[in-house]
Amino acid sequence: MELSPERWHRLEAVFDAVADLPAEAQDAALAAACAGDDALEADVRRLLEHDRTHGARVAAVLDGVARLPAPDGDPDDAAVGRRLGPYRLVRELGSGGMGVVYEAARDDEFQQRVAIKVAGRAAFSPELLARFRDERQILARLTHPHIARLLDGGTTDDGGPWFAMEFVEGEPIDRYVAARRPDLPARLSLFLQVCDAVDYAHQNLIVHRDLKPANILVTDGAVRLLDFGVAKLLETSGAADPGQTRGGLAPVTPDYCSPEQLRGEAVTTRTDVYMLGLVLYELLTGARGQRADTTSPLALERSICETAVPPPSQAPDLAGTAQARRLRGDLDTIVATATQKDASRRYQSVAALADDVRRHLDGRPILARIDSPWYRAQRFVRRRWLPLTATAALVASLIAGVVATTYQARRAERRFQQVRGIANALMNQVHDAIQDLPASTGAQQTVLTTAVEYLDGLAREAGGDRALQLEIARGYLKAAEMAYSIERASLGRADEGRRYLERAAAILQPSDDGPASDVPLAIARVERQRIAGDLALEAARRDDALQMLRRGVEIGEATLAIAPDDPELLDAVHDTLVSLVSTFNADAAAAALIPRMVEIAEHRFRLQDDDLEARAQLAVSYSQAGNVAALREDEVAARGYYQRAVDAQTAIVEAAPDNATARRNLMIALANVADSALGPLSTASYTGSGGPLLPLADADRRVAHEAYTRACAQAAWLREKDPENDTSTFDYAVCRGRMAVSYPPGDGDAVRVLNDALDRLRPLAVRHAERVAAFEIEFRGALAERYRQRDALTLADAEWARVDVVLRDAVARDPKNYYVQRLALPIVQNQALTLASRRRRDEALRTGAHVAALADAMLARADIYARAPGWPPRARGWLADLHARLGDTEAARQARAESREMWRAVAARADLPDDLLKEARAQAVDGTPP
Amino acid sequence: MSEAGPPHAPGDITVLLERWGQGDAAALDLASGVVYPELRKIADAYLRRERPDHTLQPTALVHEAFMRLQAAGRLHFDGRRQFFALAAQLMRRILVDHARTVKAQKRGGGAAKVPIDSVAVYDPRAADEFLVLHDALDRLAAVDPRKGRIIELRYFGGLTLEEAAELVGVSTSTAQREQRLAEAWLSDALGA
Repeated sequence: MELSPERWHRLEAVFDAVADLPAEAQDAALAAACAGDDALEADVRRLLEHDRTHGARVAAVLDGVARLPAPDGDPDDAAVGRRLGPYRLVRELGSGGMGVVYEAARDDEFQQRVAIKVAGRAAFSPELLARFRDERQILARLTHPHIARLLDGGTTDDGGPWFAMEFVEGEPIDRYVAARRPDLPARLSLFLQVCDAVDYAHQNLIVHRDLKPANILVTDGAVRLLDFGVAKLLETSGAADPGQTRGGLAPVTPDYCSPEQLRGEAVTTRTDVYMLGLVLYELLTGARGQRADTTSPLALERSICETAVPPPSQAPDLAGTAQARRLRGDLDTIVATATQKDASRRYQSVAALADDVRRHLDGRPILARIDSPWYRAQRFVRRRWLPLTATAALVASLIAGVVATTYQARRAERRFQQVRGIANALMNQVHDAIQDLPASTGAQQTVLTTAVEYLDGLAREAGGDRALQLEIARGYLKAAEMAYSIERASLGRADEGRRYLERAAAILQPSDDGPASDVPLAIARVERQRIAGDLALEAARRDDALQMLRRGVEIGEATLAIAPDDPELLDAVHDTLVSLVSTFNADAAAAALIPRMVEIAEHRFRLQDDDLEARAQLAVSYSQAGNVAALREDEVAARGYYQRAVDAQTAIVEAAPDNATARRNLMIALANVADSALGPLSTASYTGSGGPLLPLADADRRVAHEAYTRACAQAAWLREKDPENDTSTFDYAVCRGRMAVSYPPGDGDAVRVLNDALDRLRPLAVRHAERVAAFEIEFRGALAERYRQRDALTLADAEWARVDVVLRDAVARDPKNYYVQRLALPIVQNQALTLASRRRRDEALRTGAHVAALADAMLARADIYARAPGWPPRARGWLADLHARLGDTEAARQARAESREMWRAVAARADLPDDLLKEARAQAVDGTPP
Repeated sequence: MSEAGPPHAPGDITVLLERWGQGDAAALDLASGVVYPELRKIADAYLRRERPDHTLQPTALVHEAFMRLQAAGRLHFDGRRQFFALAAQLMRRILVDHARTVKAQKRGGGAAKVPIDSVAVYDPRAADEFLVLHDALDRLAAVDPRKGRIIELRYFGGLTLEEAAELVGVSTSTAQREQRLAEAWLSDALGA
């Protein structure tokens, strides 16, 4: 086809115009477009013909050239017969990415058969040669019955390195297992031999870096590892920087490549742990645990760095076999732990991996727990602590929502665990997705969609298998829960979640009047009620939600009466109670459920008091109870619960001292105890007395001080572990700043500590404006109060002015940021009182009006702030006092009348906490001036 | 390798590729000097049937080269698109060399060494056909450089449609349309 640019463009225009038309319309359109240019028409016609093959011809030609055999004259052929050091090359044994392997003989008095590996040519500097020699000597010292010894090495005439190794006659372990089909214990003991060899090398500070079946030979039932450290040697020969510890130039087989090697990160002994995990997978299933997808760079990265190694029990060839059942549980967990993408979450040593395999062989419980729901829950809680650390009473309001979210995540995880055998593979993916919350909505959606496809398939095949149907129903419930949380995160509606809930309901419906003695059914029904309740809540049908959740508790309690010790049932009921309590915490009847919620968590813990998960649940139950008590401004009860949460978390940290998340949770619990002791925003300052903020009792201050000292110690530990992390910077700054409040009045250290905390927060403001604003308000307010106590009023004014700026900015950014408004309220109040005492009348009144406005704003969140309706009239009463102090009796009278009016309206309501109603009735009468 | 060159710092190729992206043609030469031998080495191993999985996918080779350079700390993952753009050109060059050598050998009478396990898949016309394709691709690129580039990136570099589109600076749908026409035209140029 002749090609000129003009002709080409015409061709393109016509082709594009007709290519997508249906065949019958193409002819006419083509003739019209070519307008009599027959040659053009013929050309386009041919192109359309070829278009039907979708480029198959081009691909075939490329494939053809690739299959062309290489021309003769392969230089390696000449190598046979050649001498390297004392050895003579006898024959080529094989070749791979690293080079060619020969059998060679030493024909002096030693008469030794060896394998020699000749790597590709490389340029050597004297320095590198020296390093290469050193490395070789280290390797030559490795003597272990399961390691093929490195005997000698050197460089060829053209500069390529070679190594002589003990000649091992044997079969690669994968082929050995495929051919002889040893039973499971025999496979595991082969694997343990491999582990022993690798562990021995690690003791000698040598990492293999290229463990794969081809490098593990079996002779008479004993394994021998080849190529130990060779990858490193090759790296040495190719690396310019002798000190670099990066993955080697030596190619690592993609199917066995670890994430850190792909990313070019440091290779450690845990890299070998990863590869051993893959080898174990292969020994157990006969299939590869990792399949590198080389279709695109992104796919490659995903397949190695993101796609979790599936549980061996889910290997396609094993589906439904006895072998799959034997792998489920321990061995799944062992492989999953060894092949964690994040090296720090793998077994910390090969010895630990081997130990768990031995434990499994002996029928003892394995130690791997890394992937437990508990662990994940801790991670999740950790992400959300910061808003919780501020003042207990304020923060409790936020916590209600936050803890509910936390629980959802915990439940989400646990449910999937329970649908083990159906969606175990997805579990791991779910885990990965959840791990990256909150920015991983896309990934979660993928997992969810896959899970549902899987469940749909199973549902079609379940037939009359009732147990399986129940599991599927629970799978759908889990899917509903996930969909709900994803949709909520993206502010969507919960339609998808509802759809899955309906599928679960359809399966469960026929059993709605099933016997209470059917425990699995009861669990599924309780879960269904809980999720339906959450979804109803989403649709703002609070009454329905309340009813559904209560019904869930009823169903659960009926079965608990028969099976009081079933852990899963206890969990399900506990979860439902947490939903009830955290959502309807302003409702006295819901709050009355707290003792039962705590009782169940305690009972569950007593059943398994060595179980960290049960203990963690208990801790969260206490925290939740504490939050509700704090929200109801019952600081004494709150402190009691928080203290128990501290005890539980302390025990967890003692059991797992290196677990950063456990330490952080302990820090949170301690901060909660301190905050409830401080109770700085308790009703005391709103009683309209008009005096200064009530000073803290010394005993309370000491409790807070001690708790914050301990919390700060945990924060310091965390910061040291991860100094670049914003969260640990926050934690530390906030612990320090909050601690200042617990210093005695007049203690100059408080000012220093607060300023230090503010300095630490400043760099975070760019990325976390909202949180920094809240803490800045809190800390500057505290600072102003300290200055006021010392009569440094100019300094105090500067801090208050700054609070005002930060507050107005935050509200301008988000008018619904009630949190900062509630936080600022007593600070502004303190400012107004100080101004009044200085007779700065206009400023005092302006500031006082601001207090009233902040109090009014709280009404918008009366659903969270149970006592919110009390604040506007209280603020008016307080304003009346302010006027009186300024000598304006008329304004004081008006404000008091307004306050009384408001109190009367409050007193007429039935839906408020008793003590608030009592206050309202008293104020509506007693507020009358004499 | 005669071109041992100066010591390489980690990520050196990435830097060269960036400079290339900013219009520094000399940087491309330097980068090619590093990437070509690597790619060549891997391709040779495949072509000599040193690998058990001996059906060569040019794109798989490019990915392997990428992995190796990256693992050696000489390439950052961020630089992958430019790398694949460069490697696509180089891979094409390697296959052209390969096809020419095989042809030359046949003409000179030296029988190509055919490993036993690959006898069945050897098609002697493949070298000629490939050179026709190579030539046609050059002609296409002469009148419509972007379409030539898209084909090269997709077939020799293993980039996805989205990646190729981004690299040549068009939308995915445009790239798809252009690839389609280019494929049809190349199929036509290859003859029956």
